Amino acid sequence: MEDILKLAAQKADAAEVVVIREKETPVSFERGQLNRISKKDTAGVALRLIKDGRLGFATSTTLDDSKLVDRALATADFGEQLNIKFPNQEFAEVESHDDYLASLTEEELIDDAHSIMDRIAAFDPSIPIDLFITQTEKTIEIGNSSGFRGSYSTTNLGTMISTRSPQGFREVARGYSSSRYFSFPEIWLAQLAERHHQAQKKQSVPTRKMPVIFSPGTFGTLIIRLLAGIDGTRLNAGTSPLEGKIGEKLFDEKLSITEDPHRTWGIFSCPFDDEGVATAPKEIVKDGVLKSYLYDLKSAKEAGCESTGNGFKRGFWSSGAGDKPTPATTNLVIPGGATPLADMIAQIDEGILIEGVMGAHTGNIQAGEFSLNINPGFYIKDGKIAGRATDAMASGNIYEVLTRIKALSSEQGLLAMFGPIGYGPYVLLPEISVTGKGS
Amino acid sequence: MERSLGKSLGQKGYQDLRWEDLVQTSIQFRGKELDSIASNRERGGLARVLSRGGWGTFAFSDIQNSTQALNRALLASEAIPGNTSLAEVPVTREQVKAKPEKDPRQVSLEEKKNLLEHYNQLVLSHNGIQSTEARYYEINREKFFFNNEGSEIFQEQLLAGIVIRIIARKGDVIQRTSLALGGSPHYNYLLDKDDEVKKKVQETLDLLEAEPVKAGSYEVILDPDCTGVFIHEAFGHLSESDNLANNPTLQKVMVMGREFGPSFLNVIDDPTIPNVPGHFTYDDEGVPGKRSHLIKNGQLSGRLHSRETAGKLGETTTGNCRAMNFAFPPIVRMTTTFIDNGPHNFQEMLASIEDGLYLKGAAGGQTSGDYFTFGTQVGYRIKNGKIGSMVRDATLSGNLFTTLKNIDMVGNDLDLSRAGGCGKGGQILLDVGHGAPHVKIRDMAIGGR
Repeated sequence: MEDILKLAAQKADAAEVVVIREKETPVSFERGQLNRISKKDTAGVALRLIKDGRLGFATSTTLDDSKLVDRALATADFGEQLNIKFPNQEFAEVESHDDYLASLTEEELIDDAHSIMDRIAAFDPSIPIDLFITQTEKTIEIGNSSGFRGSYSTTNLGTMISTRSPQGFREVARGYSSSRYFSFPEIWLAQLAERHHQAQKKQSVPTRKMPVIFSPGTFGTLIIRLLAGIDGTRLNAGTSPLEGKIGEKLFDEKLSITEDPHRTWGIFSCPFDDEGVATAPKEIVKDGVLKSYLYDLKSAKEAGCESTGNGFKRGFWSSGAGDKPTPATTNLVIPGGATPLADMIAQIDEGILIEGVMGAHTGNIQAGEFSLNINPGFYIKDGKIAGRATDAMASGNIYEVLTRIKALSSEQGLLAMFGPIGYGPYVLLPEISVTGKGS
Repeated sequence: MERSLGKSLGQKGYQDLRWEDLVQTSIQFRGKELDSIASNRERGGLARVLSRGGWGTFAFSDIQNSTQALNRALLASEAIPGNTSLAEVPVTREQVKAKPEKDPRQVSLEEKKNLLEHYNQLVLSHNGIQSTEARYYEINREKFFFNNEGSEIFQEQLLAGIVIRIIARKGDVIQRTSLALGGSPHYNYLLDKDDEVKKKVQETLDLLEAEPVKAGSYEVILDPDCTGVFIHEAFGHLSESDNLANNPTLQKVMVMGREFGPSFLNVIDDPTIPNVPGHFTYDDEGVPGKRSHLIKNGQLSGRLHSRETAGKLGETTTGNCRAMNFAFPPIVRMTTTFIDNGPHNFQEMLASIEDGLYLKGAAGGQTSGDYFTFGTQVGYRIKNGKIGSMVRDATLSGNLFTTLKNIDMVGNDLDLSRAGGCGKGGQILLDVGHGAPHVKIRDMAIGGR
């Protein structure tokens, strides 16, 4: 790293090197049988440099790439005009590396998987189970010409369990992820078996507005639409509906969202972002009022403010050294309420519990629009789950539907959008447009 | 160094090694500003061993570690109980070079930037356009493949294209569409596209006045892009045999000859079609890609295989085992999947609809195996056989078995898309092609308010 920084400093005005090393061991079980172990030990190197006020960017998979600096310089000839200053700040200690988790061998992961499947079998041995356990260890190291040197390591254990329908398609699923080793919670395994049985009865759903409960995993799909609106890059481009809305009450006062990069054992906990800017917890929405936007160095410079420590090499579809930093969040946290999920279900005459969606990435996301295939979801009739809702969609705009929240659950789970994005409750919305094939 | 990698291979079970050297150039404008310009290089390999019941694989980025990676992959495979054998394929020693008409690698960065800037300016010169995200990408992959059966394949894959996201705004209404150009090895395919760009800009501006679509069931005509994504999601993924291979119930459903749609429905997957993103000669386990008829005259007639799934099901290989990049093991994937031309035409379709929708431009889709969903960019009401006012935010979804049977007409104007990215098993945005002529479908569920 020092060699590249030194060479870059000779030829450019400022430079930054980011090195990401990643080790991964995923073990995969299909219908209870171990069928694949795909290990990974890779590295990525990204160099940004500024020459004559223009930014150059090049990446490689090794620090020994002698052409890295030249390639970055070649792009700087045409690069964007950008006078950002690479930061050199103090940063906090954050607990995100579990030595025990990092030490687990593939045999131990396989044993864990068998033990989870045994525990599900105790509820019902006939349920076909697919299971993925992924162990990850990642080290991020950043150095820049302002003198910043920082590195941190994180671990992660991700477990995804799903059941299969008699036709062999995915029925229901439960997943969890943490930077600390965990034993998969018994209550979710019990729920998995219960939902699997409830799903065996199929229910068509009428086309009308009805109460809908979003699981934490599916509520994340609505929240990323809000995140698109507070993204500094989009605010600068004038393509966000949330321009000038800081301090305005946009949502039901029951909704608060914080971003906590320092959460102990959080999935995305980190002391600094991928540009070396120190991270800090912040309120995004407080009692329904919009509190902050998200900026990386570049969008902050353009907006005339400071980076909020949200410059991450993580996009919708990819993450790694090859991605340029853009505004992104660490651990989102949505505090729950007092209502247990069972009580939420009990108070609904006709509605749907959504546990999974398809099409989270489609539609006019920036405008807050969503139109989701409910998969899987459960039809609720007279306060009880009546079966799996088939062939149904839920649609709306978050800036309308989140103005009225009926209840937040006392249970917490992982907020997700094709993967975890934070922590939150089940959310009951009183009136969602549902399209179905029933009457 | 790369060429001697084959020497690391051992003799236990089946073993292969892939090594990939990828050079990627990207230029992006956001609004009138140049947002980024990048030169990425990724090199790495994947060792893969099948000695017992399943694959052990190990991805590495230091070429010196190939032997160690093979050993780790072997240990992993040894931990998987059972016994799996692969379909046999011929030993192949070949070199495949990209043959661009005008080679993008020979075009200066400045010229590429100027071309992109030209289209970007063209979009921004229209009143009502708020912003753009215009991206030029060029990916050159040099792929080496070796296995312990003696195959040695070098394959060069070159892809250049432009994707322009157009964002229009009027007050609080913000609409966006996307236009893809190129998606082939030929730089010249990116030139002289002003008319196409202008047309898309107009569509985007029109969307500002469009009403959101009402929820319900509709008769629809889908344009080639929408239909391409529809067939990719609604049938293509079901054709991938990895789910089928361990699934006796589904095997009873996916019986050759079973009727899936009307007699004029033909669905094909074909990696040999040049100049689209799903093109290659050999897949990532060294098997030659070939044209597979998935549905012939409405009946199931084929499916997509890796050597493993072909071996398990006792069928011939199709060359559909693909990896996103060196860091991933190859899995069964589509290439260019399309509905072939049928007996109808667009005017007939239009005339047959009293009250329905014409939907254009795909905006991403997903499938669970039996259900699918996908978004569209723009829509028009059809009233009494005529195209009427514009609607927006139409997302379609349904059960694939019933929806395929609800295909009423298949047009004769097949068109293949110039961009396509597919996600499966954590391997997101693999290059695929898709396409179709216009098709008409009855009783299509559309989400809305």
